[in-house]
Amino acid sequence: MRKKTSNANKERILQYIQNNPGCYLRQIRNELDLSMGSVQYHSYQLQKGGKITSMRQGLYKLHFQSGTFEDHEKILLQVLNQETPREIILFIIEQGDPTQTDVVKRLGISAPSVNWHVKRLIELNLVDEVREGKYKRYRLRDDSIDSRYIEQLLKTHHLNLWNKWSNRLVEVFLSLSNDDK
Amino acid sequence: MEFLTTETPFLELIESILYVIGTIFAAILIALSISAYRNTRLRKLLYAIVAFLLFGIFLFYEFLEHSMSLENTFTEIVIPFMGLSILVLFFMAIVNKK
Repeated sequence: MRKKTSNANKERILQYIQNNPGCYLRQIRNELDLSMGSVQYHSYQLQKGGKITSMRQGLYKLHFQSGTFEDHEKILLQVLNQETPREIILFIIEQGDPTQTDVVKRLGISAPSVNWHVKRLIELNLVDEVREGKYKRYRLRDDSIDSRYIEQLLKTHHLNLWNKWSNRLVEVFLSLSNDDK
Repeated sequence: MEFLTTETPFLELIESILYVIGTIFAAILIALSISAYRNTRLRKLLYAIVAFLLFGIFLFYEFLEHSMSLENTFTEIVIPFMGLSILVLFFMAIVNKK
């Protein structure tokens, strides 16, 4: 009986991680109403069994289902941890294929700054830049990760104050130097 | 007005508190710029890290000078040199292309 409950909890945790990539232990404990000991034990077992992987991000240990998206998830989380790239991706999801001017207007930062961030997103294979006459349009790269997946990650992964501040520091330097390269 | 021109224990205390607060802020800015650099690998942030670090040392040195009365010619050179270095580093951060 006890083993059955334990297996059920393990299964629930696995399912929660599948549905909420990038979730952390306290979040699992709160959502599934389990004890921290139980969550720690089962997540350790799931990792040992190769069903999930984890990565440390600041103070949190984030959990993912093992599989083909692992590398992308790491890149994505690195990006989603920064305010401006995160907002650019959200805006692209919302608009479909906004122009550079649209992004500049929405985010309220300089065009060179947007350029710099978008260039990084392109290098990370997350965003494509398409030229249409004199306009540059941005869209999510279809063959990497679909927008629903990114939305799911965004829902579970929230920006902390420290990352917001460090991102603003980057913006200060980018706007001071007005660097287009 | 004599209160403002003569050193009093109260003013000395305020001065020490200001140095400590300044050093704490410098430490926060160093940590923030290191975190920003790790996230973005933006080279100009390296100049900012060194500048904030120098600023922290500058404040700490001023604090030591104030509390331990370090009066020597070395100090007279070090303080303006640090101030100049901080400004040059910020300038480099702004003009540097990468």
